[in-house]
Amino acid sequence: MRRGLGVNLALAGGLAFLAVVALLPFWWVISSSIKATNEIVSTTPTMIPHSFTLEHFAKLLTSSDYPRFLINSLAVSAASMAATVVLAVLSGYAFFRLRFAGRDFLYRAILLAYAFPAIVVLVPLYGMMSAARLIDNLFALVIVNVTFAVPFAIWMMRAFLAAVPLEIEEAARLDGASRLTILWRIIVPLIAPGIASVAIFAFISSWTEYLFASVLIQSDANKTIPVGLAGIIGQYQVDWGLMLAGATITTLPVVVLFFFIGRYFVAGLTAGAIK
Amino acid sequence: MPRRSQRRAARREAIFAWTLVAPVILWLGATLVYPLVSSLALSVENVRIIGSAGRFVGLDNYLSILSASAFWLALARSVVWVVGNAVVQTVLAMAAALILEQTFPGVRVARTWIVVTWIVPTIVIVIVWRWLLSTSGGMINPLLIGLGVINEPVGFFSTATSAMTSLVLINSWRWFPFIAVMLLAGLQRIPADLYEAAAIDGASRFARFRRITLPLLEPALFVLTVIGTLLSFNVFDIVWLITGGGPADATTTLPILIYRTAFKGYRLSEAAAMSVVAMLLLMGLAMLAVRTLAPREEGG
Amino acid sequence: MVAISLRGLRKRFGAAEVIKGVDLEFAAGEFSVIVGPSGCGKSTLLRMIAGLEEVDEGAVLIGDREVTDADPKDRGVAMVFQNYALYPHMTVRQNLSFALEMARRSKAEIDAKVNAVGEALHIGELLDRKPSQLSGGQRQRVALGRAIVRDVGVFLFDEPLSNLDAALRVAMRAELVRLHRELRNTIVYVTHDQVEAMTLADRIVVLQAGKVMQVGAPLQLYHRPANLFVAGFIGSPRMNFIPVEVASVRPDGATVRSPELPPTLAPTRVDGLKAGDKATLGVRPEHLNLPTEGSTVIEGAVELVERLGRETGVRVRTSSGLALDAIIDGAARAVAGARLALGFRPETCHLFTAEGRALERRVAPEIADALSPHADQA
Repeated sequence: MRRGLGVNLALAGGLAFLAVVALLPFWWVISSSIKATNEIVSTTPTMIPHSFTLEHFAKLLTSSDYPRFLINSLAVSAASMAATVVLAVLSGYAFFRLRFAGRDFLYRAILLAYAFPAIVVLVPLYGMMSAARLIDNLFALVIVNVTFAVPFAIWMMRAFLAAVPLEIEEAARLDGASRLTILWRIIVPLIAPGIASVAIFAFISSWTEYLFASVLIQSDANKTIPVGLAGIIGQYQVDWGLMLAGATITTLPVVVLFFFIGRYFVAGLTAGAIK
Repeated sequence: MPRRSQRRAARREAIFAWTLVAPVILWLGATLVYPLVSSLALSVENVRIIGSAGRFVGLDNYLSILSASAFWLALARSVVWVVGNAVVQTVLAMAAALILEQTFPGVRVARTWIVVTWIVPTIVIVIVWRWLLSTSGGMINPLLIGLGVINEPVGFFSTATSAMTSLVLINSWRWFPFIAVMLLAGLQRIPADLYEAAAIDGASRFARFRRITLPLLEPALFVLTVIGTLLSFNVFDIVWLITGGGPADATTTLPILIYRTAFKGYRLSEAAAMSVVAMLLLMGLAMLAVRTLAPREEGG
Repeated sequence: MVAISLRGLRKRFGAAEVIKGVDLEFAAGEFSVIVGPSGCGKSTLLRMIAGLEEVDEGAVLIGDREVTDADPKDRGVAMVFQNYALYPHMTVRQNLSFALEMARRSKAEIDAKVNAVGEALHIGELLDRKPSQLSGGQRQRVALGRAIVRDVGVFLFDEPLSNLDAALRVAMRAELVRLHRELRNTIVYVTHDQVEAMTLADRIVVLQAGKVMQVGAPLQLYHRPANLFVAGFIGSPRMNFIPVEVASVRPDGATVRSPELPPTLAPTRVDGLKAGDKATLGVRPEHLNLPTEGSTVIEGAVELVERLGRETGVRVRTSSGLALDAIIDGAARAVAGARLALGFRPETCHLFTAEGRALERRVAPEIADALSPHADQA
C-alpha cells in the first residue's frame, strides 16, 4: 500500500526520534570518552569533540584493575555461554521432540523459575557457595549465570526445533542412525541459528550480571566488570573521563558479538514468540 | 493396551529423554529449588549474620515485616515502579514496533540494532545516565534548557518524584526494545490481506490500527505485559547503582529493601521472609495470568 | 526379492481405531499401490510396515522374518517420504552416503555406490550441491537414490509425487516403472491419486477407514469392483449410481427398473437376490454415450457441457433429479438446457446389493482375457 506524504513524514520523524533516543546517549558517551576532562565537565556540552585525548583509556588500562575485570568477565561469560548452550540444546530436544512422563509439568516448572526474584535465592546460594568453598571463585558466578539463563534459553529453542520436520528424523532412523547420532549430526546443525541466539543471550546476561557478582566475589582480583567498574566509580567520584572510558570498553565485546551474530539473536527472540 | 514391545520402546525413549534433561534438573534443583527451600527455612528462624545459627521462631519474622511500614512502603514503591515501567515500555515498544514494521531503507539493520540498549551491560547504562543527567557536564540539562522546556538545571535524582520518574524512564529506555522486537514479531504475523481488505472497505489508518492490529495483538501484548511485570519487579542493579534506594528511601523498592536488610542490616531471616512474601506475590500473579491466558492458548 | 505379510494389524490413535484389522500379502518383487481417500489410514499402514508407527495388534513379516517389534533400520526397508526429507545441511553426496556411513561401510565402498546411483538416476553432476539448490524433480531423485543406495529388498513410497507439477509427475511415473523393472524389488506405494495407482501398480489395495476394500490388479478393480466404494473410487470421472429395484431374477441376470430406466437386464450372478430388493446400478460415464442399437436409453436435461476436443463431458439431470455424467463423442451435439438421450449397453453395467456388495459380472471375453493374471505379459 502506498503511503501518503504525511505518513511518510511521520514515519521518518518517528524513526529519527527512535534513533536519537536509542543511540544518541551512546554517541555522547563514546565521543566524550576521548575528550579532555575539562571539556567533559564543561557546562556547555559539545556534540562533536573539540579535544582529543586517550588519557582516560590509558589510565583505565594501566593504573586501575579494569584489565583484570575484563579478563574475568570474558572468562565467566564465555563459560556461562557454553554451558547454557549445551544444557538448553540437550533439554530442549528432550522437551520438544521426545515423549516422556512428566514432560509438560517439568517444562512449566522450569519456566516458572522466572517468577522467582533472584533475591530469594541470593542468601541461601551464598551459604551454599560458602560451604563449597566457592566464594570468591569465578566458577560460582558461572553456576549462577547459567541458572538464570537456561529457562529462557530452553524456551527460545522451541521454535527452532519445531522448524525441523519430523520426517528428517524418521529418515535418519531408517538410515540406521542412533538417537544420539540424530541429535548430534542432524538436529544440531539444523538449529545452528537457534544455538547462536541462545549463545548471545547467555553471553549478554552473564556480561551484565551485577547482583550475584557483587555478593559472591570479594577480592578485587576476581571481580567482573560490572562490580569492578561500579567500584571504580565509587572511588573516583568525579572522574567522569575514566567512567566514560570504562563504559566504552565494556560495551565493545557485546557490540562486536552482536555485529556478527546479532540478527540470529533477534530472529531467535521473534521466532520464540511464535507459539 | 500397549504391547510389550511398545512399552519397551517408550521406555527407551523416556530413558534417553531423562538423560538429556537430567543435567538441567540437577543444576536448577541445586541452584534454585534447594536455595528456595533454604530460604523458607531461613525465614522461620532468627538468623542475623550470614553463617550464624538460628532458632526456630515460627512466623515471627513474617509478623514483624508485615507490620513494618518500611515493608509496605517498599512494596508500594515496587508497584509504582512496575506500573510505571509497564506503561512507558508498552507505549514506546508499540510505537517502535509499528515503525519497524514498515519498509524503508535500512529497516533490517534497524530491527537488529534497536535492541542495543538492551544488550549493553547495566553498569554501562548506569554510567551513561548518571553522566547525562548530572549537573556537571551532563547533556540533558543543557539540552532541555536549550529547547526551552526548563529554565534552570534540574536535579534528576534530588526529589522523590524526580528520582523515581528518572529511574522508570531509564529502565524503560533499556527494556523497551526487547518488548518492541517481540511485538514486531506479533505484528508481522498479521496477514497483510486483512489490512488491504480493510483499506478497500474504506478504513483509515487509525481505524485499521484500532480494529485489526490491536485486537490481533492482544494476546501477545498480554503475555509480554505479564512477563515484563515479573521481570521489572525483580530489577535490582539499576536502582541500586544509580540512586542506592534514595534519596531518603524514595526509590527503595522491595528488592532494594531485601538486599539492604540482608547485607547491610544483617537481619538475614527477616530478609528471607520478605523475599518469600515477594515470591508468593509474584507466583500468584503469574498463576493468575496463566489461568486467564489458558483459554486463549492452544496449549503449551 | 522379499515378500511382505501383514496379519491382523490394528492401530489406535487415542480412542479412535485407524487400522481395523488389516490382512495383506505383498508378493516378492511386486509393485503394490495402497490407494484411498485422505484419512483412510494408508500412510499409517505404510509407516507400520516401516516401523515408524507402533503396531497395537497383529504382526508384520518381511521376508518371512517377523519384524513387528524391530527398529526401522533392522527391517530391510527404505522409504521415500512425501516431502523427500533430505538432510538440508548435507550435500547430495552426503545425503546418499549417510545410511552407508551408519552401517560402517568403507569409504571406497560408499564412494563407489554413491557414484553408481548418481549415474543411474542422472544426478551425477548434482552430487556436491545442497538440497536447497535443487529443483523438485531433482530432490525427488535424490530421495530415490537414498533408498536405492541401501540395497534393501523393500521400498516404501509415501505419496512421493504429490508435490510435483503435472508434467514432472508423468515423467517420474515412467521413471519409477523403469526402476522397478530394473531392480525388481518389492514396492509398496501409497497415494490418493487413483490414476497413479492404475498406471503404476501390479496390484492395488483399496483402503477405506482402516479397512481393506479390495485387492487386485488394476483392471480387475476397474472391471470387477467388489463394492460400491471401490466402484466409485476407481475410474475418473466417477461411476454413475442409479438406485433401482429388482423386478425379477433369472439365471443369467437380474432385471431392474427405476423411474428413469426401462426394465434392464443386468448380466450378473444373482445369488441372494430376489424380486423387490433394492439395489444400485452402476454405469461408468465412459460407457454412457449417445444411444445405439441395443442400448438401454435414459434421458434428461443437459446441465453441464465440457468440450475437451477428443471427447465431451456432459452432465444430464433426469426428471427424477438424478444427475448422470457421461463422456460422449467429441463431435456430438449437446446444448445446455436441451434434452438429451443417453444410452448404455447392458453388458457394461454393474449391480450392487443394498449393502453395497457387488454382484459378479459376466464380462465380455476380451475383458475376461485382460483380467487373467498373465495378461500383461502376453
